[in-house]
Amino acid sequence: MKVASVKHSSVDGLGLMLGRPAYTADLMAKNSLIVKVLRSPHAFAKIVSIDTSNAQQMTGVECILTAKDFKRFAYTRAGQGYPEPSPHDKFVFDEYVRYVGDEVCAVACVDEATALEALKAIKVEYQVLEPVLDFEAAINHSSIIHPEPEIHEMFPIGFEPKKNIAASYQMHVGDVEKTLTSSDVVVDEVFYTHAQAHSMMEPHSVNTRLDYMNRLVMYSSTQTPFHVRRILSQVLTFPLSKIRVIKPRVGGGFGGKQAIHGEIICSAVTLITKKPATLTYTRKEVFESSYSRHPMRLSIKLGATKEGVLKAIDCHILSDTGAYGEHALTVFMVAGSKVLPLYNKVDSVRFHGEVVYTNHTPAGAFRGYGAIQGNFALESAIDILCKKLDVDPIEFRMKNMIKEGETSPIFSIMGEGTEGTAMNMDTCKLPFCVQKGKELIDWTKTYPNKSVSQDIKEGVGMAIAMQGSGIPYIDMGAATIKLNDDGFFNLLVGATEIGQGSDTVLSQIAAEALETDLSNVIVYSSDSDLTPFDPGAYASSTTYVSGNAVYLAALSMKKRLITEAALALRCEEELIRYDGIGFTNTNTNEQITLKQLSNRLFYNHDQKQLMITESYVGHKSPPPFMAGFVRVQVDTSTGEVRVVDYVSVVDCGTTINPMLARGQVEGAIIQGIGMTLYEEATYSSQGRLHQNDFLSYHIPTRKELPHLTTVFADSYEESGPYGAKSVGEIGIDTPPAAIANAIYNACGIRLTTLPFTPEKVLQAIHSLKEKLR
Amino acid sequence: MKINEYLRVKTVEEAYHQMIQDPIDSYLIAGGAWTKLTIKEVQTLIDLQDVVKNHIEIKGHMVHLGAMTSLEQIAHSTLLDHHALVILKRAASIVMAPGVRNLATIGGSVMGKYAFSDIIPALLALHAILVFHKRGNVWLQDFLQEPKKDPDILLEVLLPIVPGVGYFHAMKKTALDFSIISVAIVKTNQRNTMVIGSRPGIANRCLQAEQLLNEADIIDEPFLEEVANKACSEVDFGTNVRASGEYRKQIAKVYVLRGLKEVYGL
Repeated sequence: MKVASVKHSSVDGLGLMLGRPAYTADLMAKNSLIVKVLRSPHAFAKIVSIDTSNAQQMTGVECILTAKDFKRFAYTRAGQGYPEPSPHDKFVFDEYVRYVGDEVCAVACVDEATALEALKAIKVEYQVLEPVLDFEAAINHSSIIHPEPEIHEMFPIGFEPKKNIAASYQMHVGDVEKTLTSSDVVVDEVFYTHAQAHSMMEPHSVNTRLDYMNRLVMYSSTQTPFHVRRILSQVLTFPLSKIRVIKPRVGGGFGGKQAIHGEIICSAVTLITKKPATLTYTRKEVFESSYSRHPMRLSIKLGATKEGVLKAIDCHILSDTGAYGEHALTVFMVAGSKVLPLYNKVDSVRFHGEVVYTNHTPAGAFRGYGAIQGNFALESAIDILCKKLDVDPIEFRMKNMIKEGETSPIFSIMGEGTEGTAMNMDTCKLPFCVQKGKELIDWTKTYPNKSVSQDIKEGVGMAIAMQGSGIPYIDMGAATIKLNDDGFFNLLVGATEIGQGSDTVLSQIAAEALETDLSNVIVYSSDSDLTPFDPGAYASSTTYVSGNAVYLAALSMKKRLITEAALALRCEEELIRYDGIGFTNTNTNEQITLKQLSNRLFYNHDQKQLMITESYVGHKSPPPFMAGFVRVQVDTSTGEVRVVDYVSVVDCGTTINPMLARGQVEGAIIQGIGMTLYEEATYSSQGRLHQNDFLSYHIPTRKELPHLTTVFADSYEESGPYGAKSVGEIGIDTPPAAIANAIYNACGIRLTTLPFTPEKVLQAIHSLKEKLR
Repeated sequence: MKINEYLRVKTVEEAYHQMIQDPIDSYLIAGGAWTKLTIKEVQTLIDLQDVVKNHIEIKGHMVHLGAMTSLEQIAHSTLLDHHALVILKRAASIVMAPGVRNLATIGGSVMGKYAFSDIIPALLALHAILVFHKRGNVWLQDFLQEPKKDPDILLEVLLPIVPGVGYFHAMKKTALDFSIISVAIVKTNQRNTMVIGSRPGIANRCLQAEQLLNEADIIDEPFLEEVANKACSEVDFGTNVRASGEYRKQIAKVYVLRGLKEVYGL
C-alpha cells in the first residue's frame, strides 16, 4: 500500500492552524440575530406563566419564542437511525422544566447585550416541584418527571414514564443463578460511574439563514447533519427539501454533538423573522444544558471454578439518563454487548436493568458509551475474582478471553436497541495485545507492586477491551467520486469529520484505490445538499462503514476510467494497464495519461462527466480489541495517584493513517484517565451542577500526562477497507479498570466508585488500615 | 466584567484621586487575569501599567518586586535564586499556565486576598512587606488580618534577604486547579515560619508551632511530627467542593512534616 497505512498529516490541519475561517461561528451571516435561551433555575418546576411584555418592548428585540410558537410535538434530540430507539419525550419548550438549565423560552436580538438584557426582562412564575436527584430512588418516586400524555416510544424499549423508567431490558443465556450456585468461587460487587463531560473545545454552535430560493440553510457543529435535517423537518413541519444542513469544521464532539442542540430554536427564529440568526452555547450551557455521560450503578456477579475457569457473568445496571432519554437504551445495552463477549466461554450470562429519569442534566452519547462503564465493572471484578482464586490476572484472561475465530452468543442477541448480528471474530489479536503489553510495561518486574519511598507505592494493572465498527444493517455510508478536468478527483462523503481526521483517512482510502496521490483527491464532507447520505460520526463507524463506501466508489471509478481509456486507445478493456498516472494499451504500447484522458472527456471526444456513487452497509461489526496496561504511583499518606506509564496495544486492523490512529488511541486514553482520576460531576442539594466551567471541572492537562506507549497489532480485517476496523472509541475503555486494578496492586485498596479522587483513595487506605489492625 | 469607563493613568496620584472621588465604583486593574471572568459592572476601571513598576531588583538586603511584576517574570527570575526566596518562584510557577501567569501580577495576587492563592502563603513565610502609596510600609501579615481600609495603591512588595532554606508545596488535583492545600515553610538562623494556605480560607501562619520549633534544642523526627500536629491543630480547615476539611487537615499534616524534614535535612 502506498497511501493507505501511511502517516499523512491531516488534510485540513495546516489551514486550521493558520486560523482560516472554518468553524460554524466563523461562517455566520452578516447581521445575524443573536439567539439566547432563558434557562430554568429549578431542577423541577411547572411554568405557571411567562410574561414577555417588557422584553417585547425593548429596542433591538426581534423575536421571543415560547412554547406557544411551536406545534406540540414529542421528539427525541438523539441523532440515531430512524425510528430511534430513544423515547420521544422532548418538546422544544414545555410547560415543565426538568433540570437546572432546561429551556424555558428564547430571545433573538440585534446584539448580545440586548439579548442578555431581554432575558433579564422576562418574568417567569414557577411552581417548584420536588425533584428526583438520587437515581437509585427514581423508580416509583412520588414525582413523575414525564407526566405528559404525548410522549411515546417508537418500538418497545421498556418505556414506563409513570415509573420514571425511560427504558429497560433483559437477556440471558443459560441459567445464571444455577451456574453461580455451582461455582467454586463467586464475586459479588457493585460499581458506580459518574457523569463525565465531553469537554470538546468548540462549544455547540449553529447559524441559519434563508437563501435566495427561500430555503433554510444552516451551519451546525454537529456529528449528525442528516439526522439534524430529518428531526428539524419533523419538529418544525418544514419540508425536508427546503432544508440544507452544512457541517463545517467541528472542534471536537466525543458524542456530545450527536444530538440536537440549538438547531431548532435558531431555525425557528430565522423562519419567523426571515433574518439570519446564530446561537452559540456558553461554556456554562455546554456543561449544564447539553449532555453528559450516563452515570450508572453496575452490580456484577462472577462465578468460576477453582481451576480458574469463568463460568457465569450476571450484570444488573441502573442507568441515570437525566431529564430526557437521549440514547437511554442504547448506551445501557452497549454496557453489555461490547463488554460481555470478552469472556465468551461462560456457561451462562445475564444482563438486565433499567434506565431511569432524574432531574439532572440529560445524559447522551459519549465516546465509548456504555462500554467504558461496563468495562470498569467487569474488568475490576475479574481482578477481584483472580485475587480470590489466587491466580495471575493475565493468565486468567489468556485462558478465558475471546480469541480469533470464536464467537459469543451475545452478538446475535444484543444490538443497539434491537437484536444483534451473529458474527465470528475474524480478527482478534488479544493474545498478542496482552503479551506485548505485559512486556512493554515490564509487568514481571513490578507486579504486584514495589516501594518507591516510604509513602509512595508503585503498582501495575491491566484490562482488556473491545468495541464495534458501526451498527450492522443500520449504519450506512455513501461516497461519490467525481473526475475533474486535469485528472483530479472530488471525494464527496456524508461522513462527518469532527476533528478526528476522517476526511484525511477517507481521502487516503480513495487515493490508494485510485492509485493516485493524496493531493489528487479533494475531499468535501457533510453537506446535506451536496454529499451523499451518512448517519454521522458515531458508533466507531466512519473508517469501517464510510471507508468501505469510499473504497467501493474508488474501485468503480477506476473501472470506469479503464473503460474510457479503452475507448480512447481503441482496444479491449483487458488490454489496458493503469499505473495511477496513465493508461497503456499493452498491445500497441500506445499511452494516454489520466490528465489527457480527463481533458479529452470534458473537451474533445465523447464528452461526459464521470461521477460515481457507491454505498455500504455493514453486515457485521468487527470489534477492535486492546489491552491497556498502566503503572501508577500512590502516595499512601495523601491519596494522590499519579499515572506514570500507560501502554496500549491495539488491534484495529490496518491503521489507514498510523499517526491519526495513534492520536485517537492516546486522546481516548487521556480522556479515560480524566474520567478515572480528575473529572467529577457533583450536584447541590437543589440539583445544580457544581462543575459548570473549566475552573471547577478538571480535564487532565499536559502536566498530568503519563508516558504513553501505543502499539498496533499486525492485523488485517478482510471485511474492512484495506483491512481496517475502527479506532475512535476503543482507547477510552480500559483506563478506569486498569487504574483501579493498579491501585489495588499498589496498596491493597479496591475502589469501586469513580472518580478516584485523592480524598477517596486516602479514605480507603485508612479503612484498610483499620481493618488490618 | 462590564466596564463603562477605562482610565489609563499617567501618575499614581491621578489613580489615587479617582479612587478617593468615587470609592464605590472605581476599580484598579492589576494584571487583569480575573477581569473577563468577573461578573460585575464597573463605572471606572483604572489601569496602573504606566505608573507602577513591573520588575524585580535587589537593593541592599531587600528584594523589591514592583506590584505589576507578572507571576511568569517571578517564576523565571534569577534574582530569587537565593536562600528561601526560591519558594516564591516555585509558588508562582505553579499558578495555572503561562497564559494566566503572564497576566497575573504579584500586586493583584496580594490585593485580591484570594483564599486559594499560592502566592500569599509563600510571601507570608518570607515576611513580605507591602509598600503603599499613602500608608507606606505594612507587614503582609497585618494587611491580611486588618479590616477593609480606605483606598490605597500597592506599589511594591519587599522581601528581606535572609540566609536560610524554604519549602513550598501546593497540592492540586490537576495543574490548572486551585490548591486543595498549600504549605510554605522558611527556616532561617533566627526563626522559623510556617504557613498553611487554601484551608480553604486565606493563608494562616502557625504561630504556636513556629514557637515550638524556635525554642527546640534537639530536632528529630518525632519532634517534627509533634510540630506538624501542632501546626494543623492551630489553624482551621473547611470544606468546599474541592475537598473536605477533614481531608485537608490530614494532608496538611503530611506536607508540613515533609517540609520540616526537608528544611532540617532529616
